[in-house]
Amino acid sequence: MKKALMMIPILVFAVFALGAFVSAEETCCKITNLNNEKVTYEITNGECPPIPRAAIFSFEIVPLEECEGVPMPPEPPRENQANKIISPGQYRFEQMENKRLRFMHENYSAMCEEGCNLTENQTRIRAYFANGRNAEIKIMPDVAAERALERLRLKNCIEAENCTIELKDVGERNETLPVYELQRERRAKIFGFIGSKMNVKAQVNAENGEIVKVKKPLWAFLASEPQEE
Amino acid sequence: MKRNFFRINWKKFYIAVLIIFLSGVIHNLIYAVFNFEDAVFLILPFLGILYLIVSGVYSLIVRKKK
Repeated sequence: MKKALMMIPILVFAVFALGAFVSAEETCCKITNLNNEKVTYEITNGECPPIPRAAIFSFEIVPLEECEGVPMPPEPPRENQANKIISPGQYRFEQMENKRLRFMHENYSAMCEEGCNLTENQTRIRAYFANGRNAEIKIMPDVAAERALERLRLKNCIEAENCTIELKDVGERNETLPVYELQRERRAKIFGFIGSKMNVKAQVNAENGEIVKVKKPLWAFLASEPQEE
Repeated sequence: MKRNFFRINWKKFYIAVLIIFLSGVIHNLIYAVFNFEDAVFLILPFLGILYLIVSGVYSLIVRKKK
């Protein structure tokens, strides 16, 4: 008898916990306007949202499948697995086989320097570098690439042509300076007529999009860099 | 002593090197500031290097003949 009595609160707890678990699942709230019988749907977590003027609306929780014309809810972040997209949305992170993170946005992607990690908090992206510093990334790789290409008078940055974009920290002492470093080989003409190739680098500030530094070989001042067509 | 344009001495050498570097730097500055580039700016450094080579060879030949 005593055991049975003890079992009652446990059972009640279990029923409530199960109920809470079931209700926490994504459902759809069917909202009917009682005036014009217009039906709208809203994706919720088990309960309908509080709406003022509730008297003219009726609420009904319906399964998610019943929703019509409701955009699918945003995909929750997945586990950090090799070659899996971690975060959905316009930009995405991808972990490469060498355990480096690739930050992708539209046509361009930037590799995070070795030992660096990227985290996403709502719409803010934060980079944690191997030297222990961290910084917010406000500029997307495609914007940075376009600014660097404009400065270097280049047309495009294709990975197959050995063009790389790396997200790294170049701050000195206690300052953190996250930059996108675009590196590419380009054609140059020494004295304006001797054809040659040279490696060029441009660093773009990942916080405000300004050009931080442009690096060229020593002999670059004696060479012309024709604009790519 | 007869003056010869291609008979190099330290003074001519320094002037040639200065012309090469200064015109190269000017070319680089124009490119960096105005984002404008023309191969015309590289004529002077090219001529400077050409002068150094030609005058160097010429001076060696003349010195050996003496």
